Amino acid sequence: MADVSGIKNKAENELKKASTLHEVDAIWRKYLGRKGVLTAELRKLKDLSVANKKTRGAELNKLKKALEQMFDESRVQLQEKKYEQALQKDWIDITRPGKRAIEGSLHPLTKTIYELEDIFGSMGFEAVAGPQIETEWYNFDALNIPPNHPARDLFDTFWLKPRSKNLLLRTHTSPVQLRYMQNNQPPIRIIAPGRVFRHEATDASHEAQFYQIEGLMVDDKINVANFRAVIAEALSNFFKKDISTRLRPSYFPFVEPGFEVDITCIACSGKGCPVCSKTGWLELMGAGMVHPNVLEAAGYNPKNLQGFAFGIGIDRLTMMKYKIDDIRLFYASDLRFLNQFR
Amino acid sequence: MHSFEVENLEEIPIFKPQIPNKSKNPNSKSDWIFNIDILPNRAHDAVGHIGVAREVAALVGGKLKLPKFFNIRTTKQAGGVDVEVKDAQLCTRYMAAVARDVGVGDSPSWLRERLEALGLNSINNVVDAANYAMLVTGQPLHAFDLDKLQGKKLVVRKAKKGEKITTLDDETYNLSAKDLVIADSKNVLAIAGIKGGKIAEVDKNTKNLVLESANFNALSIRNTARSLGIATDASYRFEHEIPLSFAEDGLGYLMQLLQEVAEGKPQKQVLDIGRKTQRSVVVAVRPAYASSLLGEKLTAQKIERILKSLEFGVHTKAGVLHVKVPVFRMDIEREEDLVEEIGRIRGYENIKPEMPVAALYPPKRDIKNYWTRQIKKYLASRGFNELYNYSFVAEDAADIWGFNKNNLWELENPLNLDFKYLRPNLIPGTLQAARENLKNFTEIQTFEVGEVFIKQETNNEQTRLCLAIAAKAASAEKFYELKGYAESMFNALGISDIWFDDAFGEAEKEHYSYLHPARRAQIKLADDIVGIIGQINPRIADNYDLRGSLFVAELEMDKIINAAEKENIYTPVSQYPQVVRDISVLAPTNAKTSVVMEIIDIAGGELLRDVDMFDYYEQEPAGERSMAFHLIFQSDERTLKSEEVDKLMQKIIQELEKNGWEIK
Repeated sequence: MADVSGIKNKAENELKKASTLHEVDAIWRKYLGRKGVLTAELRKLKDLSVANKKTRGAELNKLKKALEQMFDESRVQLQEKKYEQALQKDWIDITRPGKRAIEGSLHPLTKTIYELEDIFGSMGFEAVAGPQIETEWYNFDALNIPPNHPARDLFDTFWLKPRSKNLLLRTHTSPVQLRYMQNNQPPIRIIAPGRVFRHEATDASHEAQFYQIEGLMVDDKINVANFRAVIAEALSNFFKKDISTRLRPSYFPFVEPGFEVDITCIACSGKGCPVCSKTGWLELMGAGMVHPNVLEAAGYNPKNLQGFAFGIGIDRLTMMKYKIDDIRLFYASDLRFLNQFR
Repeated sequence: MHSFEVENLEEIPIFKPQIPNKSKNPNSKSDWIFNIDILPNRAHDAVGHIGVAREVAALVGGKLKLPKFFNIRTTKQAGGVDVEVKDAQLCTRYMAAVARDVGVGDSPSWLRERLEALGLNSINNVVDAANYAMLVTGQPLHAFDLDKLQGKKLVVRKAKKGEKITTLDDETYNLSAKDLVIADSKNVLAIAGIKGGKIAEVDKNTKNLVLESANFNALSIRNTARSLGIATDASYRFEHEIPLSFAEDGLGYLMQLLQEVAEGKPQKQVLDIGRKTQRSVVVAVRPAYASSLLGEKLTAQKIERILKSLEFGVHTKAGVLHVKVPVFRMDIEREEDLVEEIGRIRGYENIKPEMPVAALYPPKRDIKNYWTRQIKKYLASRGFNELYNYSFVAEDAADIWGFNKNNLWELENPLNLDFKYLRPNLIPGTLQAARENLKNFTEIQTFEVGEVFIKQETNNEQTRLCLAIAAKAASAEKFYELKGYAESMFNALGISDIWFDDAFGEAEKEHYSYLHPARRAQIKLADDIVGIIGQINPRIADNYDLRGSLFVAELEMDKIINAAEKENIYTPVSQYPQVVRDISVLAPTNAKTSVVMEIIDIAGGELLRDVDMFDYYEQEPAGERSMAFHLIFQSDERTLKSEEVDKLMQKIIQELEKNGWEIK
């Protein structure tokens, strides 16, 4: 019969030399496996007397427990060592640039239009669209701008051939509002963003094509005070700062009274700076109360109907917001410019 | 904030004080020029110093002090000159005065300096006085040398065909029967209301003058000025229609001034033909309406005070103000015009912003807008940059791209040849962008959503989407990348039955000649063409010096949006495992992938859930290629047995081998 402490010491020594879990497993099999030393000793128990069986049995059990514990500890130790080594080997340089996904971009004018649609949408304004090729009637006559009227000089127009068909490229998105009114009953609350065209030489602040957003609100008691409130709220939302308005008398054939609308300078919050030529105000848009002739052209009875209308140049607004200095950048399709707007 | 915009202020050195108004501070070193923008609605009465002064008087609460006018007595008889107005429609009023023994010479320095400061050249004291009188009163005036008139008679008539005139600045114009002229018995002396001629010009030898102060038809002046290509201070004022009453003021001011600067004896009797004044208008304004439109409570008294300051007459009856509009305020026609007068003089800053009250209906969602947004955001997130290109296409571009000019919208007045037509599709702009950007990037991905224009009966304005990939390295792989993005996008939109067709009819081949003939396809939904995809024909690419290849896919947005499906349809996931078998097919290059996949699909039947191509290998010299597929089998009702799948695989292989292809 083998000596218990002898087996224990031998196992201990062998375990000390083990450097991998695999080796530990082999040693385990040698002692505790099916053909292992301890297993063999346990089999010899049946040949012993009852008294000896008891003693030897207890002895062997104690040894088994001790060996199991030894093996567990060894395994744990080696596992720990394995992790530590791996963790060191696994080191990576985290300052190396990440693998970027290719990033596209929305056009800055799209971003502005969507933002305005969302802001006005949240105030109940429906966004509507219309054709870019328009008839003279929808673009001028219906908007109280008769033919051969000097007011037409305010809008440099692209005409289409043949001239006799009186087709043009719309000079503003007001025709869209008119078309909408013809198909809908008041109260009206709409905005009409879209591409418009002016026969103008291009430079840093003028383009032959650009974007406008026009707004229209018609009901029985809509007034100038309402316009001031609505537009100040919308623009404050857009610029993410408090904006006030200043109205100056102006003339557009489709509104009466008509105004130019200035806003608090967004660069200096109205204190005065080079951006606003020290006035504290920035010119932004035209607006006014819808002319009764226009309501009539829309098929309404102008009596007991009042409304405000406004038009903002989206390119101009976008240039203000991002401090872009040349309108032609919007249509030059240079990705070095467009990439900057995600 | 109440009247007009002052574009800028210019400080200028001092003028000698003008008789009779002395400068308040004789020691002041400078004067100021106000550059004021008068808009068309006030171009009747305010394109003149008196008109502006009238506004200022209303604003500061002062009283307008008119300058001294010569005392005129109007008659219908001649006072040394006879005038016949042949066309009263085109000349509503004509006043003629005579001044004798005039000393024509240099203008006094104050007059010369003022004219020059205000942008006019000094000619001589008579011409200068006429110009200055126009600037002050808003009435254009003209002086003729009386002694150069043939027959001492002026005729206001339409020009005869073939008549010519040489103007004061030595230009000669051919006149048409539509142009109104001032003539004597022999010659045309002036283009009425626009420019005077050399024949009767006032020079240093002139002794006697005829002074013209008239009112000409705005449209006639406008048409003549446009057709002859002339624009003058006089034509500008007449085009905007000035009050009939100005004729008298202008003439009176001129005659007074002439006495001061040119000696001579103006005759009191002045010939006056035609209507003297516009009918005076009375417009009613209700304080309640004015308050309602402006959003500020205004009393009748407040309104009356404002209107009176503008020289409006006010008579209140039963709470309504009946307002007598001065004849020179030709812009006031209705109640809203008065509300503007009230609002602007009162000051819009007094109107406190107040939110309107409205029903809380959410705005209607526009389906096109919704899907366009989804598509744009999808593409931007997949690495495409959005472009906005010009809506125009150049003359030569139309030729290079092979567009049928009969189907192009042409501009009557393009800015230049680059802007001659409206674009029939988005591709030329996309190529232009690609060419420029390939100078800075090796590869780009762009998209544009925009309107294109085709001259046809219906649907002549369409919204299209153009996706593009351009790369310096020419590679057919880019086609498949683009196709992949397109297919993914359709999938995201819930459109499942898109297919690509390269069978082009003769007309279509012609129409799409700008795409590489061996690398293009129509994109179809069932039988309907929704777009095209392909590589830009190298011929065109070279023409534009494109350093690389460009692949485009252009789609009709309306068709895509109609087919888009917002709601996903849920299909329960099968709880039974999939069986995946791989197969490799070696076939000649011209055997289409779609044909191979179709054979597999049909042979595989209902249990073949997916055919996924994972490898594709061209074997160059042999003219063959091998395609490898994962075939995925699954049932919703049971676990498939190996033998079942084997049987199906055999069937598939059989069908494929029928075509003489090698299967692995």
